Order: sequence, then C-alpha cells, then structure tokens
Amino acid sequence: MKAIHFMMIDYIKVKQQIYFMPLFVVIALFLWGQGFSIVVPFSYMIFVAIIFSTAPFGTCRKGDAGFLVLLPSTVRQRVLGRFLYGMSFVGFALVCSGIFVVIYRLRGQEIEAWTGTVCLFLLALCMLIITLEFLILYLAGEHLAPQLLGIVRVAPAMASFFSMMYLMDDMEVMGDISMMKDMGSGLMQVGAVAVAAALVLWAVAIVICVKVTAKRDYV
Amino acid sequence: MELLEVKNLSKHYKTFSLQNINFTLPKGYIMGYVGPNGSGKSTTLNLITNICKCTEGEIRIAGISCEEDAVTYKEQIGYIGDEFYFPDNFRVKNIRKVLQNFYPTFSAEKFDGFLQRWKLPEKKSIKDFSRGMKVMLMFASVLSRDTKLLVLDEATNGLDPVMRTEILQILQEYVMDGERSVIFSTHILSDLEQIADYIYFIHKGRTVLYDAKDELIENYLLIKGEKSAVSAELEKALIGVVDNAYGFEALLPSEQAGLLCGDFHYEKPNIDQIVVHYIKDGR
Repeated sequence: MKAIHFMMIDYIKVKQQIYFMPLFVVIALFLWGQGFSIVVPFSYMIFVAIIFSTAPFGTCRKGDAGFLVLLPSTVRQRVLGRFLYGMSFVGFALVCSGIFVVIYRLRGQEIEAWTGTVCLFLLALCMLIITLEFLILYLAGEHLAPQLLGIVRVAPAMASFFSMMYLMDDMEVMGDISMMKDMGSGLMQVGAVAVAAALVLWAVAIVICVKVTAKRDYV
Repeated sequence: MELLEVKNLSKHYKTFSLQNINFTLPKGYIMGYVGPNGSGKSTTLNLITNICKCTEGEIRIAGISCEEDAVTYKEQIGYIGDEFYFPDNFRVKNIRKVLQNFYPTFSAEKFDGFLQRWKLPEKKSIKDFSRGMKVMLMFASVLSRDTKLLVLDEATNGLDPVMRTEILQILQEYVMDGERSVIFSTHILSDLEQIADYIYFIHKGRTVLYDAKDELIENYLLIKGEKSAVSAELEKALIGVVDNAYGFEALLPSEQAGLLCGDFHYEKPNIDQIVVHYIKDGR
C-alpha cells in the first residue's frame, strides 16, 4: 500500500506535466485519423509512456530527503512506488489503445490480427526501455538523475517511435505484412513471451535498484 | 531511560571523517549539538535520521535501530532541517494527505490547528511561503503526529527573534511530558543557553565536550587579565588564549582555579565563550 502512496507522491510532483496528457491522446487520435493502422497511435502512446515514466527523476532534490526519505517505509516500498508510477503509463497507453479499438469497431471497421502481434512486441519494447532507463537513473543516484534525465528520457522514446514509423512504412512496401499475417498465432505467442520476459526483467530491475538505493546516502 | 543512544558512530568521506561519536540522550531532555561549520553536526544528524548510512557504529531510538525496524524507527523521528524539504509544487493539502497516508498517529485537526495558529495560508503555493512560514509548516507537519525525538538541524537559521522565541517555547513544551527529547544543532548558542540540558560540542569530526549544560558552565572559568601575570603552569592550563587590547582572555578548568595568583578577572563563561575558546585552542 505504501508503494501506491509513493506512486501518488510522484504524480503530485509531476502534475504539471500530467496535465498535458490529454493533448497527447488527441495527437494519437489525429495520427490514426490519417489512415494509419492502430500500430501507429499505439506506438505514439508508447512513446508518450516512455517520456512520462521517468519524469519524477527530474524532480529529485537533495533537500527533499528530509521529507520523502524520512516517511516511515522501507526502501523497497519507495523504489517500487517509483516503478509502479513508471508502469502506470504503460497501462495508460494500453487503456487508450483499447478505447481506440472500441471506437474503431463501433464504426464498423475491422482490425487485422497482425496489428495485435506488433503491438505486443511494442509493449515488450516499451517495458524494456522503461526498465533500462530506471536502472540507469537509479544506478547514477536519485539526485544525479535530473542531470542525466534529458538524455536517458528522450532518446530511446524518439528512437522507438520513429523506428516503428519507418518499419511500418517499409513493411508495407516490401510486403512483410502479408508474411506476418501468414505466421499468424505463432508470432503472437512470441510477442506474449516477450511481454512476459519484459515483466520479469522489470521485477529483477526493482530488486537491483532496491539494493543499490539501500546502500546509498541521500545527501 | 535513554531515548537516543549513539555508539561508536563513524562516517568516512574522502575529505572528512566523523569519528567515534558516543552519547545518550535521556527522555525529556534537550541536547544542543554545536560546532563550527564543517565540524560534522549535519552529518551526525543525517546519520541519526538515516538519510546517510554510517560506516561504523550504532544508533537506537527507544531501543530500536533502523536496521531492525525502519518503519517504527522513522515514525519516532520528527526532522526539521535548515532547508525546506517539501517538494516545490506541493500544496498544504498535498502535505496533509501524504502525512495521513504514512503516519498512523497523524492528526489532521492538530495540523489544521497549527496552520491557523501560525496563519499559514492553505491555498497559497508553498514555494511562495516566506522562510519563517516554511519553517513553521515543517513544525506543523512534525508536531501534528506522535514523535519521540525531534531532530533539528539549524532549523532556526534566518528567523526573526520573535519566531525563534516561539520555536524555543515549542521545544520546551514538547519535552515537558518527560517522554520525548530534542537534539538541536544551531550556531545561535544563546538559544541553547535558554533551553538545552546537554551540550555536545564537536570539532573536525571529533568530540570536544559532552556534558550537562550547567555542569559545563560550572566546570570552566573565563579568565581575563595581563599576560605578564600568567605563570608557566597557568599558561599550560589555559584553553584558547585570545590576546586583546586589555591583555588576554582564556578558559580555565574550574578545578585548576588554584593556579590563579595575581590580578585576574574571572567569571562564569557562557556556552558561546566555551565553544569559541575551544575552537581557538585547536587541541
């Protein structure tokens, strides 16, 4: 429960940034409206999730230690709260995409199965990137994180989004999509395993970050 | 009954070491933790609050160490630093909510009572609070729950005399029930003169003096006089000799008062004078 409370503290700390979230949803919808498949707005929401998940690291100040570090809790609860905050944006991306799909269906349009497979891989990639970013920022130290954050935060998110856009374009030209369609549920299972593996790595990263943080001075 | 026990506490940094700090603070007492800048005061207090990890030693509050039970250990501490520690974009309602979520003994009524008593505006963003308002908000957050030990790290710095007096009064009320204690670091030694029961004086990471305040004052004499009148034996016994236009001024352990033969003026020193002469002495 205390981990959830720490997650809420992170939300309060970055609330000004959170206010912009609806704008990103509108942009995702706009992209979709341009005739792209669901993969494009989903990859955009993933991009947004990666950017937002690390935001609280930008607010770490040595001076806050007297309040946040002294809250009666364990290091594990504090670190877990931050990780939950990060992953909540993955959940947000999924919920938004789910809503997009419902809207699409209500409009009587069909969503092809292969897009689900691509989304699964994207989801796994997103979780992996967030996990790695958290590892880097925790290993650097919470109060060094604000300086590192600019590099760690934007580059992987941009790379994943624009690579996806490029790949989608390329796949349609090369006819790879029809190959994906042929592979069908086999590829879907691989995607599901990738998501599961990303979840395991996420849990391992939490353990590492707890151990590193427990030994560290805050000031 | 000891509330705070610090045993063989050491912390090593590249350029500074806090070495072998030992003291106990009984329930119902106030300890002044004094020393010049960079002497290790904040380091010690950060170790007590577990913001930093000690290299060696042990700290217990009401018999519990942070390693044994971090949650109970932290629940017992009320910390106020010289820096405002609430995140900048927090509002008073956010602080109240966080305290409610984390501290089972937090009383929102008490907290609101302190806000009213100190006229702290609830709707104003706390980053726009004055220094005095920020300190009082930290006090409100700490006093509205059941703590055993108040740790104050130069909390009264930059406050006007009226506010400082009010804080000293709060600290005296806090220990009045005989169950709670305060450890208080400050450069304003006149504050300690008023409220401290014990003085711990640290310099360059080492203990210089540790005693009950009244004992400490009783144990020394402040000597003034002509330097030519000082015998070799007396010179050895003097602590922190400072030359001035009228001769010299130094501390002398009361037990060596017998060495005073000649025309010297002597009086009881205050804490400020004891600290200054010890720092000058450099022993």
